[in-house]
Order: sequence, then structure tokens, then C-alpha cells
Amino acid sequence: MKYVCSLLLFCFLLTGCVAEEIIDEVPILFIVGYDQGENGKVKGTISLQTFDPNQEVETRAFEAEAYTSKGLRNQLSGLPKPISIGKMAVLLFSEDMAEEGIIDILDSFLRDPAAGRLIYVGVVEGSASELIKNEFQYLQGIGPFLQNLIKQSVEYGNMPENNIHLFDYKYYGDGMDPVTPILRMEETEVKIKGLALYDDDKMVGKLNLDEMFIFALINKSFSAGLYELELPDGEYANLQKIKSKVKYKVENGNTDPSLNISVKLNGNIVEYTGEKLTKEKKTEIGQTFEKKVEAQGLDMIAHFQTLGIDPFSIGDHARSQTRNFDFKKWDERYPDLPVTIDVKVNIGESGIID
Amino acid sequence: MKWFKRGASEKPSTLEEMVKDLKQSIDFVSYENKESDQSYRLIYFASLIDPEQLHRDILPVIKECESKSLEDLKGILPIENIEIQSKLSLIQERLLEGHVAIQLSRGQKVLLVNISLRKSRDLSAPEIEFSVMGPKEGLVEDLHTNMNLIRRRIPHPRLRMKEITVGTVSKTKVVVAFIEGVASEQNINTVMQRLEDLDFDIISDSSFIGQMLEDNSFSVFPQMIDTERTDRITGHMNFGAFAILTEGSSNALIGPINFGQLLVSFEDYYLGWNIASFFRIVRMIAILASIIATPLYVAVLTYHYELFPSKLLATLISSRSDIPFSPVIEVFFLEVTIDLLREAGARMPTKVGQTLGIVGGIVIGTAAVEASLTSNILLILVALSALASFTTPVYRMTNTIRFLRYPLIGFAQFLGLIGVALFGLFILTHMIRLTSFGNPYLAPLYPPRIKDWYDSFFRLPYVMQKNRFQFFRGNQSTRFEDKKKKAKHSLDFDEQ
Repeated sequence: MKYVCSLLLFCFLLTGCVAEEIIDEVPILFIVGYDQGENGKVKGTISLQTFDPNQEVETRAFEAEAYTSKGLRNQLSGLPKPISIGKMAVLLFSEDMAEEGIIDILDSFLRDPAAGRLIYVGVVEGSASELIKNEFQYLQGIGPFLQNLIKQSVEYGNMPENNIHLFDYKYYGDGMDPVTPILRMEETEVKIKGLALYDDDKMVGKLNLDEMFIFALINKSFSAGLYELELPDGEYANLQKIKSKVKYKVENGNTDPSLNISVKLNGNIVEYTGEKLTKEKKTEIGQTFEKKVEAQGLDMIAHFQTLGIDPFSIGDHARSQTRNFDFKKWDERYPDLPVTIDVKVNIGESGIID
Repeated sequence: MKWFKRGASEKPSTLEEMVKDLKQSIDFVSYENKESDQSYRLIYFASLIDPEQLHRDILPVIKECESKSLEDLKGILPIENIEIQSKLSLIQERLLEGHVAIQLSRGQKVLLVNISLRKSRDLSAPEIEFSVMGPKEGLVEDLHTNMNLIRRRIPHPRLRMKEITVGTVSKTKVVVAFIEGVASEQNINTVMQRLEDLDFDIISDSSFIGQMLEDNSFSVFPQMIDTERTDRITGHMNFGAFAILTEGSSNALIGPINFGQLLVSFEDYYLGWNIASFFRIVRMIAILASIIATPLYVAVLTYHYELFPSKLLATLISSRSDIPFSPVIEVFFLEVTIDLLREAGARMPTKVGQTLGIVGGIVIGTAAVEASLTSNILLILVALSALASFTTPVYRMTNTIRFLRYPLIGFAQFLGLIGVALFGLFILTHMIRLTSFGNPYLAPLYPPRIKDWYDSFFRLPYVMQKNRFQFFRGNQSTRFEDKKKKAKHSLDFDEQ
């Protein structure tokens, strides 16, 4: 009885230790955009949503400048406190911000137990602040909209998997570098423009949408959405439900490394502009696709090698396949690494009529 | 109890004094026939005896009897269980049980004939533990009828019924029924000893005994099952439990039990094993949901809004945006309302109760949402959890579940999900420590009795229920003999 009483008492003593965050009283943030401010400050922009009983969503943007990400909170004096980032969905960085390095700001989110691990990190061509402030007519506000946009591009589209956790993993891990999506605000909509390449946390290059698709296929086993393929005779074929199965093979990782990537692709033809889709035509489409993936893949890797970055995690694959792997030597040899890609395309079905 | 003690201290020393004392009650009769050759006296409580039997079987015999001795009369009377008694205390006791005392000559010696009137209501279907399938036979308030009902279901010589009288004033007869060999001797000894040690004045109902016999009377968990179903009583006796029948109570107590048995409806045994298992699992989920639904609402809305999917947030926030209270006040308000309805419904006659349900459920519920006192999501949660709490087949368990929710809401408000987990640990620790007549309460789970699992959270077919529960530690461990399987009779559609 004594124990029960003292335990109960203990619980009551603890009540002050947990901060209440009643759901309808805290401002819930879904999106933050970071731009470069004056004097080395960071300019943060948030979009706050209010929900009224008719289930209509109103959004308002706020912005502030400070030297740190958490410091922005104090500057957002027009906002009720506590600002909660538990539902944070998207972090946007302007291009010039990303080129300078973003890990300082990501670190604040990675440390915070309230923040999720599935936050998307994105780069905006232009100003992140303007993208957030622009009042697009989105049903749930810009934050959840962008979250859905990126999520569905990963699940059903051609974008490789990415989030803050993977960014962190690839940033700290040896022999790999992170990627993030690039967004651009156009007059009436936000568009995904491709993939940003990073050297550590600094953006050093871009892939366009076409390259992003090839990247996703080769990066690791993946199932992509739709792809329009140009054939040598000027016709076009559309491939759907493309599934890739990828194997990296690194030989002699420590002494004289060479890399072979085998990519097995499965896809369905859903549209073809030519007259009749014969068997020969199908093999031709397959071969064209094979050549395209191989050529573009090799180009891409060569490009990465000159930039000295490794978004394909080749170094990590080498480490896993080599005993006593030496990263120092690898880094020296990486730019001259001989790479071959074997692509095999299997065209599954081409519709219910033939 | 002062009046009783004083009365006891002035014990009458002679029969005459006793008669004089008892005559203060209007139903006490001391009739003396002073005709010359046949003088006799009848002493009885008119309210306890059957006058028809007195007139038909006793008076004519006395009148025709030539002899003047009680022994002769004893030989002639066509009634069993007649005794000649001169001990005053015993005579008084018998009179209070409905015997008639016949005195032929002056002196202490009387002939005691049992002609007590037994009135009980007719058998009726169980009202609390209703079932669609299965026998619809419930216990009544009369002990003999109840014993008859049980004996008829188990016509076996080893069905033992031990009687004991408890209650210093009410002198309630209590019968402990069990099957010898199947029930563990240790359990029987424990219950008999506890009944013997029981010291209380009036035992109004079996639940008195239930509360006094429990291992831990501070616990909110029932450690015996109250049941009015005869099939449940005999079924549990066949597992190895004992049943306590109480005079004047239409509920029997079953013990020892474990927690899992509180979630078993006896109808489960009448449905197919697969369907019964499914319903058992549904019931368990319902009970868990019923306990933690509203505490989770409080915890999540107060501390962990991140747990909601983004798409639900808008609905939730907009439904709560007009409500001036914090979630915990909101929840308490609705939970108390539901319990008020339940209490009021239980005290009202059935027809009024129905109206009450409609008024309470629909009018108050809708009005509360429209008046922005609660959110409609909470209304759904509270109604669902109230509904789920009534799926428990044992009534006392329903109350426990309804009760447990309130401290849990408090914990959820103070510490959020950690509080909910903490309270869960309190309850779990308590249940692990709890015993029912010395048997572990969480038995097939902890201590693990994997062989008992065939009839716990699910139920396997009867073929696989060969062994009795280890839980009861009986001597007879199997329920049936293995027989050679008959070769499968081949039907025409089996032919190759």
C-alpha cells in the first residue's frame, strides 16, 4: 500500500515535467523553407494552416531571420507558441543555400525527437520563401501537397527514394553521397525538375527528369512509373511498370578495382505510335531501351567520377564485397574506376490485344 | 448488533419460557388441546410451515393415536426425519427452520416434524447471461431446486455437495458442489475452510460470500464468476472447479478461475470451434479497446498529436476547434454521462429504461456536439467503447472494465502515452500477483501453461480437448479415452 501511494504521489509530482501540446492549440507546421538572409543569417519561411469547423483550410506564411534554425522560432513573434514540428513534412532550401551546405540546419531536425524521419528535403530553383508564400489553391496547404507530390513520385513515379533519414545516412556514411529532389515554382504550379547531387552536404550538380529516371533504375532495385522512349525510326513507345533488379559487382576492391552493374528490367508497353506492334518491333524497343540505359548510365557515372561524388553508393558496395577494404585508396582510384553496365530488358505484355 | 446480543444473553431455561418469549411474534403458534383423553400441544411458526401438511398428515394421526408416548407417535407419522428432542436450543433452531414441535405431556421432550413450506418462483431463462444457443435454464432463489438442477445435469455418484451454514443471524445454507477426483482436494479444503471461518451476521446474497472469500478483496478484478447459468456451473465443475450455491440467491459462485475465463461466454462451447475462437478474439480486442480508447484520445490529443495521420488532423482539429475544454474534461464529461445513463437504466423499469436510452443516447449526444461541448469523434469513441464494454460475458467484469477506464484517463492526462503504459504495468503487475483460491490469475499466460491454451484465447475442437486444464490440478487428467479411429466410410463422391 505504501508503495502504491508513493508511486501515485510520484506520478503527480511528475506532472509538471511534460509539456502539454493540445492538438488544437499548437500551431502545426508542415513545411519550412530556408533562404539566405542578410549578414550570413538564415531566412526561414513557414506556412501555417488553420482549420475551421467547416473543414476549410486557411494558410498564412510567416518569415523571420536568425543565425540558427531554432533561433528562427524566437523571431517568429507573430505566431502562438509552442511551435511544433512533429508533423513536419518538407524542408526546402534555395539553390544558393544548398550549394553552401545544409547539414547545419538538417542537424537541428535530426536531433529533435519530435521530428519524424520521413521528412523530405528538397531544393528550390529560385527562392524557397516565394514558393511557400505563393498561395496556390491546394486543398490541404502547400506542405501536405508537396509531401504528397514527392511521395507519389517515389511510389508511382520515377524518383528514387529520398528523405531526411537517407540524407543523413548517406551524408555520414563512407562511399556514398545523398540526393534530393529539385522543385521549381512556375506561374500556376510547382514542378519537380529533377535530382540535386551533393558532395557531402553541398549541392554540386543536377540531373534532369530523364536522367533521374535512369538514375533510379540503376541506383537500386526499383519499380518506376511511365517512360516515353524514342525509337531510331522516329516512332515513340511508352513503357509502364518498369521494374529493375540491380546487382553491383566490384572486383579487386583494394588493388585494382573494376565495377560491373547488371540491370534486369521488366516493363510493359502501353502505347506505341507506329503502325503495328509486332514481335520484332517489341525486341527492337527492348534493345533500344537497353542501349539507352547503358549509354546514359555510363555517362552519368563518368559525370559523377569527374565531380568526385558517389550517389550510387559504389564505394559502399565495394566495401561490402571486399575484405579489409581501404577507403583512402578507394577514394584515390574512384575517378578512374572502369565501369561496365549490362542491361537486359524483358518486355512483358503489350496490352490485351495483339 | 446490540439488540441481538442482549437477546442472546437472556436465554430461556425452560420450554415454557421459550414459548412465552417467542409468542411476542404474531406468527408464532402454541396450540394446546386440553380434551380429557387427548391432550397435546403443537408449537410452530405459522409463517414457516405448510398448513396443508399439518392438517392432512399430522393432526389426524395424533387424534387417532391411542398411545401417549412420543416414540409411538414417531412410528405412526407418515413423514420422514422425525426426531425426539429435549435440548432447548436445538428445538428453537428447528422451529425456525419450519418444524412443528408436538408435545404430548408436560416436560421438555418434544417431537419435531419437518413440514416447512418451500416456496420458490418458477424456473426462468437467465436474464443477465443471455445466450442465443444453449439451454435457457437459470438458477432460482431456492437452494433445493438449484441442487436438483445441477444433480440432474451431472447424475454421477461422485458429484459431491457439502453443506455448511454461514451467517450468525441469517443462518444461510451454503452448498459447495464439486466432482470428486476432478476437483483438486486442495481447492475444496481451501473453500471449506474459508466458509467455516466466515463470520458475518446476514448473508443476503451469494455475492456477499464471493466478496468475503476472495483472495484479495482490494482488487477490482473478480476472482470468482457469478453465474446463473446451470450449464456454465456444471461445465466449470467438469473442468475441476467448484460451485458455491447459496440459499436465497439465484447466482452461484464458481472458483477457482483465471482471467481468461472471465472473457468466455458459455455459448462459445455451443458454436463451432473456429467461429467461437473468432468471437473470443473479437471480444478480447473489444475489451482492450474499451479500456484504452478514450485514454488514448486524451493522451494523443494532449501530448502526441504527431501520431495522427496528416489527413485526419484537419477533421480532428476542426471538430475540436470550437470546444472550450481540454480533451480530458471533454472525455470525463462524456464518460460520466454514459455511466449516468447506465446507472439510471439499471434502476428503471425496462420500459422506462428504453426511453431513457433514447433520450440519453441520441438527444444528449447530439446536443452535446451541437453545443460544442464535445467533438463528434469523441462521441463515436465513447459510444463504441461503451458498447465494447458490454461484450464481456461476466457482468462483474463489465463493471471492472468501466471502472478501470477512469484512473487510466487520469494517467493519460498526466503523463500521456507513458502514463497509459505505466498504468498498464500497474494492472499487469497486479494481475500477475493476483490469485484465485491460491491459483495464479493469469494462468495459461503466466505462469505459462501451454497445454491449457487449447481453450483460452481460442478454442480448439473437442477432439483436441482430451486433457483437462492443468490449472485446476485435479487427479483425473483426461476427459475421454482415445479410441481407434474408425476407418473413414467412403462415399460415392470419394471414389476414384
